[in-house]
Amino acid sequence: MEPIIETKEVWKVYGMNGASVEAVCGIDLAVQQGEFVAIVGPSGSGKSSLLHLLGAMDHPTRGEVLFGNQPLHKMSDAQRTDLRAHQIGFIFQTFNLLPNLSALENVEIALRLGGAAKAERQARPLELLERVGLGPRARHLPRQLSGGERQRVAIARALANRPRLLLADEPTGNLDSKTGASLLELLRQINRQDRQTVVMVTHDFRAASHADRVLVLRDGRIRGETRLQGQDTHRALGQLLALEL
Amino acid sequence: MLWDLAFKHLWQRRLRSALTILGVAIILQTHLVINGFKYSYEQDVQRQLSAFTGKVLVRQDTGDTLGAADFSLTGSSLEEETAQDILALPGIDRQASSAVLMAPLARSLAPTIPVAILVVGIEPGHEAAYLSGFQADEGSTNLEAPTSAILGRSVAELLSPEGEEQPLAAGDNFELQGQTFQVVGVLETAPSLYNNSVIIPLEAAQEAFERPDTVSAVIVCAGQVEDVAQIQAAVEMGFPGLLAISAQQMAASVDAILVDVRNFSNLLTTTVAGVAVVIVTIVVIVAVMEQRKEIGTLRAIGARRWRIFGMVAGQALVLCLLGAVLALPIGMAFLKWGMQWEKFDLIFIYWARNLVWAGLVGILAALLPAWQAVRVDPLEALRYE
Ligand SMILES: Nc1ncnc2c1ncn2[C@@H]1O[C@H](COP(=O)(O)OP(=O)(O)OP(=O)(O)O)[C@@H](O)[C@H]1O
Ligand SMILES: [Mg+2]
Repeated sequence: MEPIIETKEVWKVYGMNGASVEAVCGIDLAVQQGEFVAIVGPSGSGKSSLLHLLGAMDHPTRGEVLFGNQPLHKMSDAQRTDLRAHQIGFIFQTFNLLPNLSALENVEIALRLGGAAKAERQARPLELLERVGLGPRARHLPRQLSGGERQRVAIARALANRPRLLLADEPTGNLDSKTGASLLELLRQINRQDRQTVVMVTHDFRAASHADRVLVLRDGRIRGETRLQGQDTHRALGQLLALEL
Repeated sequence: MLWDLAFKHLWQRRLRSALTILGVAIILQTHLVINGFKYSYEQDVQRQLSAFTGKVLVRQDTGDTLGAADFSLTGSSLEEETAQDILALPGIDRQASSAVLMAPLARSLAPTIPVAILVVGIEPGHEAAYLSGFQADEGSTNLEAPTSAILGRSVAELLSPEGEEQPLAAGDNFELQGQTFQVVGVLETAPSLYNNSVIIPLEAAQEAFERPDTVSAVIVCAGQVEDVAQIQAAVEMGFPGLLAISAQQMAASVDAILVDVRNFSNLLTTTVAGVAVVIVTIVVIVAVMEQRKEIGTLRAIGARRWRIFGMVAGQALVLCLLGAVLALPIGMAFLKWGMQWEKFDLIFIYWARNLVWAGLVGILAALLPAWQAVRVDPLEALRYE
């Protein structure tokens, strides 16, 4: 089966002149339709850098990223922008909701950017907010919502245009563990019910344990990989901890 | 479009937006006022010129190129005898022609506002030479007695004794150069030259300004319009050193002056519009700086650059257009209470034009901030510290 997204020997080196930082060092990665992949690693291991490359937000220094067989580096800025609008949903650690727009409007604007028809723009935002359990808070502004609620709005926004790929960068990084767990549960549920492909990066092994497949990243390189399908969380965590060693 | 986002950001910073709109309004109302004045000045001059149609002004050639448009005849002087010889030339409507003596009278309404009053000495019975059809609102336009005076609208107010609310009216007395005159009539509202004139008998003027047997010029009315050229030729042949200026020549000189006036007012209005562009640019640049993270987020979730451009340009345009709307009441208030001006129909014409200007200012002011905004990287959304 053809992967949704694939990297080939991809490198990201920052600050080419003077002291350069090798954030991503020749990573090969392929994510299949319907997979929930977690990339886990300590701070500074290059997780975000890799995710930005997957999300068509940054250019690799070397190597290439293919989205559904299409090389991103051959696309124009406008094409990459449209790809982000239609095919990729992004969930940020800092939520990044538009502060002057209500929860509903935050979802609606993504539909607008995706060029959705008027009827859909009217109906879908509330459906999505109900899906993430925020129907009654639809008219609230981000500042009137808790962190967990904001991240749920962000998930609704990321799903607005039925993207083929959902990317999440430390989605629970700013949440307490209980809120984080229920959010991950939601992501897991969306992944299962809709066969929504998810790639999540995190430094938290507990968070990573919700995934089907976990990659361990260290110093810009993939150092290990495990599948968690059908295993219970304790065993999974044990495996992962072993990987880290 | 993302215009709702643009509005919401402006609304979020209400005070700043309101102050910017007010600033733009104050700037654009000067635009309104300058253009309004320019227009009414041009109208005034044109009315004055049309009152002079069919006439020839004979004056001393002072070598001044703008002499032909100098209605107050500064510096021109000729002997009264010469004037009478000119008035005796064939083809002249003597009744409607007269020798005139003009003398500006400095008079201050307030210490800082100089107001020139023009004293005009005219031969009794030939008042029409100067008045050219303008009538008295009250009283008559006949300088029957040696101390009779006809007053222009503004002068009637200026000369009224201190502490007196009412302007001078027919029958009132006033002092001029130590002599007492009696008002026989007050003119209807006319071009400013007339509004500022005190018209008295020629002899009284010669006495008051100690210029016996001297006049400033001769206003000659041709019996037939076709005779104008012939009269001009006769004057220039027979009286060297004198200029005989027709209404057409005056109009040409006036046009030259109006070009300067237009250039000056255009310079002023463009400068003022430039200031508005800079102010709005600064405000929108600051707004873009505040919105960097939002703009980055929008780019990250798929907003194309032109949408960002539109959002930022929308903010600049809204500020400018609302400023232009607000400029109308401000400009009207300024004219009404500051300048006692009531010709608001003019204001509306210029206001409509102002909206176009404001749009232009908005577009120019949008360019730099919008350019900065479209360069915001989607990764900007992910930076946090
Ligand atoms: N824009 C940049 N310019 C220069 N160096 C950068 C830049 N972004 C990241 N780096 C460096 O690249 C390396 C990887 O950074 P990255 O943000 O990808 O790590 P991370 O795994 O996401 O870390 P964290 O868990 O703290 O978010 C780090 O050493 C970082 O200092
Ligand atoms: Mg990171």
